[in-house]
Amino acid sequence: MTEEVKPDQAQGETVPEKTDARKSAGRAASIKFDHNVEIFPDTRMPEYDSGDVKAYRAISRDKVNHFALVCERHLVPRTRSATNYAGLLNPFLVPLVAMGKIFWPPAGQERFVIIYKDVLGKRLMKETDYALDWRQDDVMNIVVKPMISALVDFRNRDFAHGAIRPSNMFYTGPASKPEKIVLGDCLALPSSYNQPVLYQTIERGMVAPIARGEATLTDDLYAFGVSLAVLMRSNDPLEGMTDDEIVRAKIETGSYAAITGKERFKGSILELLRGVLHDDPTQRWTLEEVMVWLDGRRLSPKQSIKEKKAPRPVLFSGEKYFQSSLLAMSLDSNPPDAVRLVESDDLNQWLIRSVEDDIALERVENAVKTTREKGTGPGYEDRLVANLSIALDTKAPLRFRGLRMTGDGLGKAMAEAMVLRHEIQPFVDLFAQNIAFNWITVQENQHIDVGNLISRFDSCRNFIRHGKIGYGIERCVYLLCPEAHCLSDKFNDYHVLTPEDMVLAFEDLCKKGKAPINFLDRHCAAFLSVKDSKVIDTYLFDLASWEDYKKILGNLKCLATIQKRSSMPMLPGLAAAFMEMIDVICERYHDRDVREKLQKSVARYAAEGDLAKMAGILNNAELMARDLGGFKEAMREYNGLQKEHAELEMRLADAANFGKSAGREVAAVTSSIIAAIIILAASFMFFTHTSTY
Amino acid sequence: MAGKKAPEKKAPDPKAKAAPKGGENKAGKKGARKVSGGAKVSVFMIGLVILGAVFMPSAVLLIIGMMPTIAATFADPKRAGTRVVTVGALNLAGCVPFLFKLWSQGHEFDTALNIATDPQAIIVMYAAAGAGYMIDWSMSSVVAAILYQRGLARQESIKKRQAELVLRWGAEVTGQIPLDHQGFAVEPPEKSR
Repeated sequence: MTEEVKPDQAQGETVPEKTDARKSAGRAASIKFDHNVEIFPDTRMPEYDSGDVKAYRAISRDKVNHFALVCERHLVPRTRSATNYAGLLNPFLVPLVAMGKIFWPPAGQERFVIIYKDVLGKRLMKETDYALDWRQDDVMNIVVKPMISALVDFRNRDFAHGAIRPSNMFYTGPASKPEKIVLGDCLALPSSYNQPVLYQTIERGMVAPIARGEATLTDDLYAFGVSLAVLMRSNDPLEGMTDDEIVRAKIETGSYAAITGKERFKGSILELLRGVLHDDPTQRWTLEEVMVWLDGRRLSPKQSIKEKKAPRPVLFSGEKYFQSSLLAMSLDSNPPDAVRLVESDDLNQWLIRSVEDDIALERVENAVKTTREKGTGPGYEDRLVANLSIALDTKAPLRFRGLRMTGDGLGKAMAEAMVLRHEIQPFVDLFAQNIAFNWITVQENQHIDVGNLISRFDSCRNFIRHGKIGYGIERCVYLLCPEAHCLSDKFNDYHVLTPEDMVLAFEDLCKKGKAPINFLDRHCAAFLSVKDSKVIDTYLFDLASWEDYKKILGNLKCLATIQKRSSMPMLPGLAAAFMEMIDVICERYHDRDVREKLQKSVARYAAEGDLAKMAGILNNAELMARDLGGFKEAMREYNGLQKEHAELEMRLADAANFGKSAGREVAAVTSSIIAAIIILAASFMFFTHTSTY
Repeated sequence: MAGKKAPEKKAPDPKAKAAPKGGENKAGKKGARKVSGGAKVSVFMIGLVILGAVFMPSAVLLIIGMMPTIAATFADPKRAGTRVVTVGALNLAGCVPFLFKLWSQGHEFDTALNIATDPQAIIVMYAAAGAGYMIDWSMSSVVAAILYQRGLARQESIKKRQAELVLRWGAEVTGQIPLDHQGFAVEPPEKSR
């Protein structure tokens, strides 16, 4: 029933197909994916759309119908969870066939696609419907039992769906009596991104859709409970309410009451609804309790506990607040009034006299103190609001300058902000001002991995403090969102998920004549640092240098390392691009002969596309040392010649006397020799022929 | 003779400079040497006078025959001595045959005067000195010209070599451009891409 899915293979080995797809994009109506599946970009399947992610018809080689969800660049799909999902063999789940990146002609860029087998049927409910008035028996038979079996599988595979709702359920058979329910996609979007606030727990409902983080099984159980209520209820008590108003309603009356309104469910399902819709995560039914209930054992329904209301309100922004969580939720709507609340001591007085919560009071006092420690200048209001919000409602998400996030969802929110070019400074301040830390340290939710988050937030703070290439907010994104593709502007048309993808994308850019001057920018460096620090950390110093030759050499060495470590094919495009910049590196050798030889050697390897050998030749410390020694020797020689020339110049200026003394010395010697010969001859004659004299 | 005296006069100077280092004893020794040098000259001169007195005929002949050399000695403003040597050597060579003649004829004063007053002898002796002058003039001019040309050629070769160095190692090799520790022209960071 379910085809074997190989997510790793799908992600990493689609390059040849991508190239084929590129070539045929203009003329073919289909794109081949991984040799096995053909996707038809012209054939939409809007009934299978997953929010912003559009569905297209696909077909396998053995003619089995599929559909492909083409992900949006700013919405990071759940590729990690997909591995777990692929292992689920449940008839009530849509089978995952494959996933990976392909060139998507309608967008003219690479996109990540998730391909499911087309077993869905029709959508059970429109996104706009919130009440179906089903009979309890039908719900039990069609939805409850299959869903519980799916939830059991989720638990066994350590997976959470995050998108359980009637509008994501599909049925086969007649609409009046569906035969089988199948749950739709949950991987193409960030976890719970499309999930309406109604199906979210109070805490997750407060969070921006992009930043909800990975759902948990308890969240799925809650969504399952809401789904049942929606299927059975005859009217929507929350109709027309905004998301914030729905959350407030849940806080004020409790989830069960808010969702069911005046509906009165009877029988065993009431226990299930009360159990899974409990607002206290520790009191909410676990899957084991649900299974016990399903076995027929009756558990006493738990009454939902409403948050304690203060007898007297506190006035904020012209409104009266009786619950601290509601006040915390509204604080960022009017920061100056929040400051007034603190400065006038109204908040403390309200907590002491009305709420009578000493622990909350202590947290608020600490929050105010901590905020003031960093000064009361620019940003004070925002910091105070964020810290007060944390102190007043520890279960609430992180709220800062309009952002509402869970610790787990922070990464995807940052990725979205970067792709959509939203303001990124609030995220920077979040770490720099310790807001994220303040939030994580008060968390009591057992489903939050506090230790892991503290460690990652600490790293992020250090990255931001460091600020250089390879660090900064860019690295925070890839650390907190490991599923994110590289968000560099250079890869707007590519979907880079691995260092190898990056190198291939650069190769493609170079072949198209779009080689960037500087390959590895801040995003690329941060991405590589997180994905495989060994290929870049050694070269970060070079990449951060203001000297062009160091930067180019750093780029070359890094990309060469990836090519070598991953045993990648030859990269002639990249090599040619580096050859154009090679002068800058060769100019770091003084000796023109060496430069020429280097260029010839590098050109040979560049023609082959061997970056590793190019880098090896250019990064030769011994040759550089020899070159420097030779240069110093040449300087000395030049200087000596200069002095000699100046001396000669001075002497030659006195042309009348130049060489005269030497000439006279020669004359003296010559004369002496002649005289000696004459004297010897005369002596010889005198002593041998005395008679002559 | 004048050529021999010149080094003797120069010799004390460097030693005099070294004197303060050595202290009084060394100064004393140096003074003794000075006296010793002067004594040597005196002894030499006395010996020469004695020899002149003993070999009066030869001395008279040489004094008359070597007049051009004596004149050259006093005419040389720099007292460099090379011209004196040039002229003196050939002048002496011109005198030697007549000296041998004097010696072979009994080494008499009258004979010496006869030779010295013989125009042929005088012409030979003075012509030899003249030849010395000719050699001095011609050789010094020729050698100076050759050396001048060599100097110019060396200048050319220096320029050529310097150009070769610049061509191979760049303008940085001239040392006229501010360089960083690795020998490259210093560029401000703003210039980088």
